[in-house]
Order: sequence, then structure tokens, then C-alpha cells
Amino acid sequence: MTLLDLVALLPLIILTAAATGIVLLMAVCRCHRTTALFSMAGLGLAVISLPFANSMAPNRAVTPLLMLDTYSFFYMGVMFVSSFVIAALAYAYFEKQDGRREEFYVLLLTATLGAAFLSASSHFVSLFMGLETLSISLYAMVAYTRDRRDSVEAAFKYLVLAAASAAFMVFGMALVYAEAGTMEFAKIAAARGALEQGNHLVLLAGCAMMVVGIGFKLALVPFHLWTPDVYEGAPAPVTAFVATVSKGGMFALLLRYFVLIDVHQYPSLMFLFTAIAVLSMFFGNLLALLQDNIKRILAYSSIANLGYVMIAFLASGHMAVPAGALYIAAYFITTLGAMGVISVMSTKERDADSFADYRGLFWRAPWIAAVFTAMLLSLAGIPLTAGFIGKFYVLAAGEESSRWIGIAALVVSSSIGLYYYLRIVLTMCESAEDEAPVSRPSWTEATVLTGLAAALLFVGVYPGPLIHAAETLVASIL
Amino acid sequence: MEYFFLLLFTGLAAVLVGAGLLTSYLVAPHRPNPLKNSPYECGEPTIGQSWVQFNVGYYLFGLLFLVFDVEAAFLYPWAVVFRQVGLTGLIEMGLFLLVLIVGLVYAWRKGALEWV
Amino acid sequence: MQNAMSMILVAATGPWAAKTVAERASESLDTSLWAVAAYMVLALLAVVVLVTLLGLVLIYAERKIAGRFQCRVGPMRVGPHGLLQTVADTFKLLLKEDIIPTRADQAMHLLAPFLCMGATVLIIAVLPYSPTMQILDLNIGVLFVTAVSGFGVMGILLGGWSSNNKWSLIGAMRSGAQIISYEISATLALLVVVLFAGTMSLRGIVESQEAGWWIWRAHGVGLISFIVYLIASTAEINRTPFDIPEGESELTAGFHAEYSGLRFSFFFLSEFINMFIVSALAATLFLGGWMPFHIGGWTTFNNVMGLIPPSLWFAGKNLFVIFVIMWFRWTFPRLRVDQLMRLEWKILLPIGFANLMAASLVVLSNFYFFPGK
Repeated sequence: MTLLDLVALLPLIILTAAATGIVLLMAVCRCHRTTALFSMAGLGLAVISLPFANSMAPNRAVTPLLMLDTYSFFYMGVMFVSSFVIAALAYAYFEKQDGRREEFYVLLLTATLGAAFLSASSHFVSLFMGLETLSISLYAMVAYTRDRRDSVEAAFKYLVLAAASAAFMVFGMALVYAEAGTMEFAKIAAARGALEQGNHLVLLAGCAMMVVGIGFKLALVPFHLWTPDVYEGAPAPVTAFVATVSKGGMFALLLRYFVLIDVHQYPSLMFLFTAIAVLSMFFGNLLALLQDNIKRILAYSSIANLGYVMIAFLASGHMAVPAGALYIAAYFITTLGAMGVISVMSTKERDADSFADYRGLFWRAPWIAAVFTAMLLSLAGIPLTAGFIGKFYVLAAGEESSRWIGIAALVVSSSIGLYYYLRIVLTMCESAEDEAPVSRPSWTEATVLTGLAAALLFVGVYPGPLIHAAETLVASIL
Repeated sequence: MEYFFLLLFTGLAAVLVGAGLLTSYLVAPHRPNPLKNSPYECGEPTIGQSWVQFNVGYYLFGLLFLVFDVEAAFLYPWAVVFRQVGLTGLIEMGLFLLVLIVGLVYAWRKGALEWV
Repeated sequence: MQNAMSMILVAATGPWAAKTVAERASESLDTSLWAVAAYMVLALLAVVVLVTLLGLVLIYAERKIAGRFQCRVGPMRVGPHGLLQTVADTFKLLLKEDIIPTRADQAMHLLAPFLCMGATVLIIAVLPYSPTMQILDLNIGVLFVTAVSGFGVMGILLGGWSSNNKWSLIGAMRSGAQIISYEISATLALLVVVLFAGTMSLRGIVESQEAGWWIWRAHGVGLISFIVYLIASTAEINRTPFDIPEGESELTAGFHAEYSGLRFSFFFLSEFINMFIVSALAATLFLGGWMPFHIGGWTTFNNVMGLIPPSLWFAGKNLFVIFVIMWFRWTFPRLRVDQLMRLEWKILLPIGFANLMAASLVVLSNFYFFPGK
């Protein structure tokens, strides 16, 4: 372990230190504000350290376990910023609640750490470590409002299903290892030639089992069954985390793996993932039509969104990487914004997840309603929003690699999706004289929502810098 | 060879206890009756099963034990090669222990170490 | 066969070079399979004899010492000075009816004593009694001993739970909580010696103390960890002052309340053998095991000390620690469960961590008053 290795690890080290520091802080003094500020400071420092680490120790493999290249730093940055936003939202959200609130930030930081680990993983061992660090923290986070029945129920569902999918994943790893003789992604990719002569069956079975684990984390059809319940039961900031950071790490890993093994070589895998993508888009959008709960709608919408981005996966490497990065950035901003609105609207007793909570919101709290509308339009992919840029780039990537089935599915299912997004917007426009006025959002919430809306519009109107950043990632991974 | 001997002794342990039980089975009287075979509660009739949910305090300590025992399992190989890894090893293990000790301090302050 | 006999003779009277029975057996693997078989029989016999003898001697010693502490004479009737009392007790237990309560989990109820006894026999096999008297030496010796002694806890928990008796369950849970808690401190204390010796093999640890026992050669940290280990291991074998799992006055007999006859005696015996094991470990790791009292550099002194055979050194140290543990029983009152947990988690554990860190600094400095090899 040289000094440069430590520099490359700096973002992860800062995050670990911050998590440990909070535990110690809680032992000394319990203060919600201090804890929240401390965790945000830790995340902020980690973000600041990213460009430093990137320039001092570029594209460095620290032990066979981690590959700390620009690609992983980009995803870490996106995830750290999201966690920062979630920490701010959570502070406002938990201020309304009673009980012990400080532990949440430890879990948030460890979960973020796990996701960051995933994004830099280049080995099965670090993949599993990251996955478990993320998952175990998430179980507790989902159940954090433990006096709410839904919350505990959601946590149990998540625990059981996540454990089962992790078991699948580990068994798949074992099979791949048995066939390839190595657990490093790069070496598995390199061993491909030798593998092609032999019997593929064990390798394919291993890959398929790993797909179960990955699909679970990304909530892709047919591994999506937990999604609506967990989204509905978890407290709103945790839902935001499940929807964004928790998926981001696995997404980065999967994309890295796909590019490394050059997925075009395997028609069976291509077919499998095309099927998963198309199914996710249609299932997500069609089932969202049937829901009467905003959180569940967003759950199905996120299933569909991950389906869209799978199209980018199937494109060739030099388009897939920037398209994926752009889409993830846009999706994070949008989802955080939407979940942020729900979090702001929530009261001590329950989260604001029914249509009734939003009836006539344009007249009661025009600013929040405007932000929510912007987020929903971005999820639908309307121009001038970040979501449009993301979707456009994914389409371009798919078009270049001639993934026509995927593109057709994307276009059709997005137009279905438009319906339920507009349904929420229309509900907000309805007149509602009898509704109680919305309590004024705290300045934290106002800042976060304004910031996210600004970012959404900025990326939507002037995507140049982000596209440029996303395109530089290709060099580091290929 | 060492492990073969170990296997031998595992067998021996089973045989030793088994033989003892067999002898006792052969020579000891065996006259069960319902009262004799009922649970012993100092003469009081037993109420209900004793397979019940137990004081949660035990599980709390069980969890703590798990953390520190796994940590001890990590410490053993470190202690063996400590002379080779030297100061670097000390710092690395020190950081590892620090995280755990912070956890202990937290549990302490949270009152997890109080017996209830 | 003759070959085997002569080899065993050499083994008994041979030179000082430390060699285990298993090693001898594997050496003669090529020449004579008879010799291998002979070594195996020898090893098995030795352990059986040792277990029996330990049971007789320790139980007798406990009662006599208890008597002396209370100004009584202890057992006197059976045999001269009551020497055969334990033998008589064994026969009595053998002839007692073996009861399995109707509501108990039969299979588990039967299995529990096997676990308790099995753990002790396995550990006895790896202890070094003298350079030539060790049946097998594992390179993970210390880890093996701590791991296998975990079987004992399972036996206790299983026995208490399967009896379907409230006293048993309470006793078993208390015992489990106590053993697992104190196991951490015991492990940390043993780690200090592993750190100094740089090996986990028990023979290697004994040999590393040629220039002095770790209890005094390690600048105090050895002494601290010896004391911590003594306290923690007394708790691990459920002896007074840590005997709330049995606590006759409150739980009748704790986890073995529903055991009778020979299966009760297995629990009883395994407790005494466990006492021997923890004393033997304390003697091996901290007091030099079979290593005579050596002071690094004082060659003449060391040679004089070397005149006493190593097995006597081991026995002496071992009996001393056993006596101390028995002494505890008549000196300290029983602890309450909250005091018990406080002692471990708030006192012993922090001391153990601090001591381990101090020990690693000492090892790093590589400074000793009496130079070793």
C-alpha cells in the first residue's frame, strides 16, 4: 500500500472516518443538527477530495479489489452529492419526528460507502463486500421509522428478498469462478477466448444467477417485486436513497462489467438483457397506470427508467458509457427532486403519498407544485429538462448500435408513461378549497428543492459540460 | 498426520461417552413413571412450556459478542505475522480496532451494556 | 512389533528435542505401519487414562481443599484419607437411573453431554505436557483451543434448552451469555502471548519462552494479560465467583437440573477437565509450560533449573493455577448477573484492548531485559 494508493482511496477513507466519527459524536452528545451537519460535511469533503484523488492518482488499481479510475470517481461524485441532498432532506424530515434520529446518518454514510465500493469494484470479493455493506445498512434505514407498520413490513420484505438474491449472486460467483478460475473482472474478460472452446453451460448458469442479484438491486423486471412495497413503506428520504444511490453503485458496476467483457460477443446475454429491458419498460409503465399511491407510481416509474437505461448498456462501449453516465445523473436529479417533494409534504404521522395530499397544490403551495411538475416532466422526458437529455442520449446510443427493438419499446412505453405523470400534475391543478394549507418548508428543504430544480433546468437547457464530462469517462474505462 | 490424529480423537470422544452411556444403560435400573419423568421444579407442578421468548438482554450481548469475536478471529493471523508486518501492520490493525472501540463506546453510551 | 516397542522406548527416554506422538507416527509411516498403529493406541490410551485420572484427582482435591478452607477434613471414609471417595461416587453415578424427562427434546438431550465431553478430549490431545509428551501439535493451536472450547458452550445451551425445564433454560442462557462475554477477554489475553511468540502452535509458544516466561519477560503486559485470562477463564468454566448459571440456591442445578446418572457425571467431569484445560493453557502460555525457570543469558542457572524434568515443571505450574482457581471459590462471593456483565464489558474488555496495543508496541520495540535467541 503506497501513499498514492491511499490518495486514490481518500474519498472512501473520508467517508469511513465520517461514519465512525458520527458514532463517536453520538456517544459524546446527541444532537440532531450537529450530526446532520457532520455527515453533510463528511460527504462534502469526500466530494471535494474526488478531483484531487483523480488528478493525483489517476486510474489506479488499488489491490486487485478496487479500480479507482475516473469512471468510478464520476459515479462516486454523483452518489455522494445525492447522499448529501438526502442527508439535508432527512434532517428536515426527521426534525418532524420523535425518537432517536442520529443513527440514520451513520447508516446513510455506510450505505453510501457500500455503493461507492461497488462502483469501484473490479473483483467478486469487493463486489460482494460493497453489496452487503449497502444492503445491511439499507435494511435498518427502511425500518427507521419503526413505529410505522408499513416501514417495518417493507424492511422485512427487503431483508428476505435481498438476502435471497445475494445468495443467488454468491452462488453465481462461485460458478463463474469454477469455470474461469479467477474472480477479477478483467481476467474473466481476458479468459473469454479460452472459455469459448469449452462447455459454456456452467459459465452461463453462473452469469444468469448473478443477473438475479444485479437485477434485484436495480429493480428490473422480473426481480422488481419488492420495489413498490419498499418505496411505499420506507420513509421518504430513504425511498430517495433506494431509488438513487443504492442503484447507482450496482449500475456503475454492471456497465463496467459489460464493457469489459464486450457484451456483444454473447448473443445469449444480449437477448437476456434486451428482454429484461423491454419487460421492465412495459411492466413499469403499465403497472404505474393502475396505482393510486404517488410513491408506488414513482416505484414503477423507476423500474421503467432503469429499463430505458438498459438500452444504453446494450450499445457499444464508447456510446454506452457516456449515455449511462448522463442518464444516471439526470435520473438522480429528477428522482431526488420528486422524492424531496414527497419528503417536504410529509407530516409526523405519515408520508404524503396519496393523491389527496396533492389536490390543488398549485393554489396552496405553488412553488412546491412547480418543482414537482418539473420533476415529473423530466421523468417523462419532456424537452428542456434533464430527463430529456438523458433519454435522448440513450436513444442515440441505441440507434447507433441498431438496437431497434429496444428503441421501439422505449418510445412506445414512454408515451404510455406520460399519462400517469400528467395525472399527478392535473391533480395538483384541481381546485381544493377544503384542504389544509401546507406548512412552510424549512429553509433547508427550500434550498434543496430550489437547487435540484435549478440543476434540472440547467442540465436540460445547457447540457454541454455534463456531456463533456461523461464522454471523458470512456477513455478511463476502455 | 496431525489432522488424522484429530479425527481419531473425535472418534475417541464419541466412543468414550457412548461406552459410558452403554454401560450405565446395562447396569442401571430403568423404571420410569410419569411423576419421575416430569420436569423438576422443586415439587411444584409445572405451568406451561419453558420454550418461551427470553429476555432480550441476552441477544444484545450475543450480538456484541459476534462483533468482537469476529474481530478476534482477524487478530490471530495478524498477531502471528506481526513481526514481519511491523509498524504498518500496527497502524492498520490500530485503525481497525479503533472503529470497533468506537462501536463499543457507542454501545456503552447508548446503554447497551447495562443489564436489564 | 519389536520395532514399535523400541521406538516407544526411545520416545519415553529420548533426548530433549520436542516431538509429538503424531510426528513420530508420521515418521514411521514408511517403515512400519505397526508402529503407526502402536502410536495411535498409545495416544488414545494416554488420553483415556489422563481423563480418568484427572477426574479422580481433581474432584478429590476440590473436596479436600474445600474441607481445609472450612476447617473440616473433607472425605475420610472410603479408602485411606478418603482417597477412593471419587471412585465410589463414580460407581454410584453409573448405577443411577438415567432419566430423560417426557417433555424434553430427546435427541438434543442425549447429544449435549457428547458435545461437552468431546470438546475437552479434543483439547487435551493438543496440550504440550513435556517436549516428548504431546500427542499432536497444530500450527493453529491457540485458535483451535478457543474454537473447540466453543463446543462446550453449545453442549451447555443445548442441554439446558432441551430439558424443557425453566431452571435449566435460565441456567443455560446465563451460562451462554457469561461464556461468550468472557471469551472475548480470554481471547484478547491469549493474543498478547501469540503476539510475543509469533506463533499459534502451543509447542512453539513454549519454546519461545526459553529466555524467560512471558508473564515476567513481557514488561508487565504479560502479567496483566495473565490476570485477565485467569479471571475470564474462571468465568468461562462457570466456577465461583462466576457460578450464577448453576447457583444451587436459586436455580437448583442450572442447566443440568434434568440430568441424572452418568450423563450428569459427564457434565460434572467436563467442568473439572475444563478447569484443568484453562490452567494448562495459562501455564503453557504465560508460565512457560514445560519450560524450566530460565533467565536469558544466565547459562549456569538455566542448566541447574534444567535438571528438574520438564513434565514436573508443567505439572507444578498447572497444579498451582488449579489451586488458585479452587482458592477463588472459598474467597469471593458470587457475582450478580449485572455485576458480571459490567466486569467484562466495562472493565476487562477495555483493559484487554489497551493491553493488546501496549503489547504490540513492546513487540515492535523488540527490547527485553534478558536477551533470548
